[in-house]
Amino acid sequence: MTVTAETPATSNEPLTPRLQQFQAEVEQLKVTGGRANPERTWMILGGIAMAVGVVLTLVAWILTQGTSSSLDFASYNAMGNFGMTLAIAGTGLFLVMSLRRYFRYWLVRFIYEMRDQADRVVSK
Amino acid sequence: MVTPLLELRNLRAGYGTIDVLHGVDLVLNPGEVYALLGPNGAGKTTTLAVCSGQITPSAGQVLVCGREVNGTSSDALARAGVCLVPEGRGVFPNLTVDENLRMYTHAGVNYGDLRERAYTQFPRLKERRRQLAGTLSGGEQQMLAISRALSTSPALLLLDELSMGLAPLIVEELYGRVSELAREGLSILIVEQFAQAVLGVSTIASIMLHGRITRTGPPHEIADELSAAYLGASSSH
Repeated sequence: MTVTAETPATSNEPLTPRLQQFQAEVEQLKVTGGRANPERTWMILGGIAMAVGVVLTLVAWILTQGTSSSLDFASYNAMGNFGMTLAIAGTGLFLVMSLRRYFRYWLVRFIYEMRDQADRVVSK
Repeated sequence: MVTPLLELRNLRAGYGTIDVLHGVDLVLNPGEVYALLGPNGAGKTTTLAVCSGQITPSAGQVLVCGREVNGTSSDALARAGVCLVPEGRGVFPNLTVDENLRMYTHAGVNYGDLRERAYTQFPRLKERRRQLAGTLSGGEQQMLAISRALSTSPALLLLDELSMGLAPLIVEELYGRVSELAREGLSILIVEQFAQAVLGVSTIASIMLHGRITRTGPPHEIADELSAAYLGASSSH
């Protein structure tokens, strides 16, 4: 190739009006910090909720065996119900996030394969 | 010392569980044309996707004008002036050239001004203005894509594989335009697999291999090392 360019202006020159405007707009940008892989966090939380729920349910069941007080029984019953709800919700969250991760990977792979195939067809 | 327009610090990013970038460092100063070169699968396009806000980095920092912009949406960055011309051009194939240009006025750009600018920079588009974009040649589609990018008056232009699938003469013409844009003060980050054309217009160049930048330097030095790097003979730094 014979394209040769003059070296563009760089470094110590003052910023052009457009760059000053750009700088001002960047300053006003809403920056969240973002998270590259939010599913992983939710998967971990789901797993913890699942485990805590199972433990709570088991503890509540064991405690109900050793009490004859109907008041204690009611509170252990509530604890057991809460534990079961937590375990079910945690399992759901864990499964949904696992599937999301898997399908994201699958989609990326699918797009890659399609592009690769298109390139092969074009090059024939 | 001027604040870099774009800076990547130990950037890591990927797709879901797959990491593609493993600690990328890059500095683009105002008015520079930065050529990021590397073989297929090196992570060049992913780097541009991170710079344009399409992919959130898993670690490291993306700084624009010295401000960290990790997690900023791609539309907010585009509105501010970071503009990406993607690989594969990104034009509407079922619309005519004129209709494509009209689509680019969504950001509040005057249609007449946009057309005038596009047709002044790329007279060939004027001849094809009633033709469907999908039936244009690759070079003409790329011209249309660049016109779209310039419609927002960007401060930072990201070009992905400008020369892909184009004849050498067309590539030369396109890079001639890029060179003119750089002279007007636009900062440009160009990703390319084939280096010859881009090294002629760039002020600084880097070689990227396996998600890392292995060498940065003046274009003529990079040109000498490129073949060795592609063939795997380059040292890691």
